[in-house]
Amino acid sequence: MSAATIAPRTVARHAFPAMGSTIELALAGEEDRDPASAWQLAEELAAEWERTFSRFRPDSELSRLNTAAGQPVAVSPRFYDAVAAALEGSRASGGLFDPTILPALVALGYDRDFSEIDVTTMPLRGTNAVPRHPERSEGSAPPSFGRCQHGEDGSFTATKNRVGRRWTRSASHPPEDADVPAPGVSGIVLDPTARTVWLPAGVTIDLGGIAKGLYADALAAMLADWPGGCVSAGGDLRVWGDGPTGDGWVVGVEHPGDPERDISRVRMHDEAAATSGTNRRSWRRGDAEAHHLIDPRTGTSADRSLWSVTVVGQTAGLAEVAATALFLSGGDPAALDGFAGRVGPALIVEHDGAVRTIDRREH
Amino acid sequence: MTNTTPGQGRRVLLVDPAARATRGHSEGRLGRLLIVGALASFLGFFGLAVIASPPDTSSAATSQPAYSRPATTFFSSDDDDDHDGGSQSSRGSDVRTKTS
Repeated sequence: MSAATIAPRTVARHAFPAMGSTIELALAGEEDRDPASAWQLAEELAAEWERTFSRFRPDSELSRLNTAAGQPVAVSPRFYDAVAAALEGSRASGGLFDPTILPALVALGYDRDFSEIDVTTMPLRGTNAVPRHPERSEGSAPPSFGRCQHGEDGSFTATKNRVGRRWTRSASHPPEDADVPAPGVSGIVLDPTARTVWLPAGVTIDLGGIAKGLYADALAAMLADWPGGCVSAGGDLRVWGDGPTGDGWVVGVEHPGDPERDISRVRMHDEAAATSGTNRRSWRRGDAEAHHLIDPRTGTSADRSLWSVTVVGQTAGLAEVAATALFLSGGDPAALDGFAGRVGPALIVEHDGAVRTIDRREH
Repeated sequence: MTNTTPGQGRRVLLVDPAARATRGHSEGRLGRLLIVGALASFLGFFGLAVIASPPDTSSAATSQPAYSRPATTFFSSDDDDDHDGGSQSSRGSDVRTKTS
């Protein structure tokens, strides 16, 4: 356990590594209360989360499910709820959020803990990586997200076909052999009575992103007897009560080009926020770059027309799903329609650093 | 309804059973309306009280009812962090999001 410190204005802070990220906590409001038990609870819960959701641990519930695809698997209530939340997130996002992108992620080279990946020298296998955007350093306009091209150099941009709330890959642009489009969640069966999950044969899932959001939500609920607090797990953050100023929490949005700076701020009360971006978990693949935000329609890293997306929502799990969907849509506000009334505003940072916002989706 | 029988020197007052039934039905309906009205008034108040209760936001699932926070909006930050001496939080923010 790392050292805990009591900051001025009666805010106790603590940070520790877990789930491939840094977990940060802030508890406010009770000057003479020892937060040590809260820190211990946070670390124990994170360890339990890793044992349940890590795809890099062969003994985790997730790994056991993935290796048993084709037959029903009895799971714990926590794991069942997480899968149910992922399926609901896929439905709300019209398929943009998709836990079945795991084979694509592995094909791209993200097949081990990210800290073990040599991000500079990984060889390029196939075409499923995006070329670097020379425009970023030159400050020119971002490329359009709406047209699909497989260039001679292996480059591509995704096509957006929106039918109702379903986002699909254009039939006129079949996947390259090396791409692994996600099969989707339609074949996954949950049995609430037997509490089993059934994955179709050949389908595997990754719950990494949404699991961290659910961790933030769960820990916030467990620490709710503190007058105010904040849990940050990777890109997912949940606050409750009041911070040091006595009026909610002023949350700075990390600048994707400088993690020591805020690019914007938002005052939050009993809400959550999630940020998805390409400034983290990116790696070189030959002459191209890949990153962890996989477009399920193409099975490859999403277009880099955006740098990062932040969405405010009721819960961190919900905000995580909505942020992923908004990023993969290229910043289209319609991607949030399925979350109406459950997510707040969104902040989008274009690849050239320009910032725009989307108001809360009420309907 | 009143009817007169001719040639018998007396008046016979006939009351139409259907009319009596209608009147009785009307009286019964009025009573039921009063009861239903009183019940609706109580339930209406109770319903409003339930609606006014804050939603439980502790659940981790994504299927949440709509929440009614005051308008949360992003606002511009002062990007010049040099003034806060490089502290953990830039000036004005209590915590900072990370990117995943």
